[in-house]
Amino acid sequence: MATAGGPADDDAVRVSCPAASTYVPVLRAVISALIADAGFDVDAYADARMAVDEAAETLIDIADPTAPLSATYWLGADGVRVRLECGSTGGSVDQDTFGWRVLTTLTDRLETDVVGDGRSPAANCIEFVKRRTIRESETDARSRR
Amino acid sequence: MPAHDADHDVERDDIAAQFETLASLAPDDPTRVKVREEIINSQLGLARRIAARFRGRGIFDDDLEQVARLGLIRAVDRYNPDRGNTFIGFAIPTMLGELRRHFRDTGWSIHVPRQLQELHLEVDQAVSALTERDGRPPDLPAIAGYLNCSVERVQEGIEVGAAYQSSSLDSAPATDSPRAAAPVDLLPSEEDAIGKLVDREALRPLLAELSPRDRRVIYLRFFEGLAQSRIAAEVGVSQMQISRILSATLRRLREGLLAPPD
Repeated sequence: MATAGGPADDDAVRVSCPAASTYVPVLRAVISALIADAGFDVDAYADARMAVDEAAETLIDIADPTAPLSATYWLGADGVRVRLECGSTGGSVDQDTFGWRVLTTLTDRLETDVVGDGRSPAANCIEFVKRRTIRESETDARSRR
Repeated sequence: MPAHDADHDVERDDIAAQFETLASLAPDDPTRVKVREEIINSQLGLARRIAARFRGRGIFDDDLEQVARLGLIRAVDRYNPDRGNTFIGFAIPTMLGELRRHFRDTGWSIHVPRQLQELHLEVDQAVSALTERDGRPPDLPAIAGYLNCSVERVQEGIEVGAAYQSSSLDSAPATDSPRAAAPVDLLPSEEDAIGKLVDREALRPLLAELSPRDRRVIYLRFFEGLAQSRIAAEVGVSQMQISRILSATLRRLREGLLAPPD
């Protein structure tokens, strides 16, 4: 994961659900099951679950309600990579919000982009990587300043 | 309990008479205290029976009874016979309300079986012990090894925390506490931290509504960037409590931020 060429598609777990908050626990359950036995410490495990919540809710907030929300998970040597994608009504993910700050803190790599072929309505994407252990910097406030 | 019906009626008439006596006494009449106490004492059995309905859900029986008695006392002090209902009809919901509130305040939803609450506590203690031993937070298999159970059990123990948070934190900030009436201002450092966010205007009142502890946890995690285990050490609670506080508070903030402005 996060290596040149990207993760092998064969290793991916894919889930698709309606773009509604009711389904977010399903997306969270998938990541829990995927990483529970994969060496994530309790901090990273909790962060990954919260990150799925936050990313999914962020997309749902600007989603075209008729478009499905799709999630792809890859478990790799570095950690877990999650990509959430959802058709939008035209808005994109605002990165100057509290929610984005939350996502940045919870994950080790984070990006958002808009994908589309220019004809059909675009889809918003949030993709993040969560490593198995927390960063050194997270154990000491001073080192981040 | 049909066998008790006759007793019950006598009891009921008795109480009605006592409340009549109470109403006839002047507010400063010293006999008031005595009559009030008599009414309370006569209903302790009822309080015990109501408390018993909540047994086996993670709160000690003695505590349950204490809370039910508190409800009983409240009921005695608030009961107004002129409203037309019997004292028992008023006291039972008052005691039930008191018990439910107690469950809410102590955190556990009354729907979580004790066995799961205990599992949650075991996992919580294992995380603390292992973090202490190894100097870093454990992963789930390590916890499973320590507790001699499956990783799925550990997951269950962690996830049942959601029932805890949804009961203690979803409810509005304790409406009875004086703090809830007057939201405190944010600390200057907290103001600085949210200063660059576009949704700060919506965020500020939501943050101010949080308990000082929860706000501090949010601040340390998302503005100071501290890990949960580190915050746990700083705030003096367990990593799992921090985790619960974070996910419940985030949910609350998210709902508040998404809600259309009034």
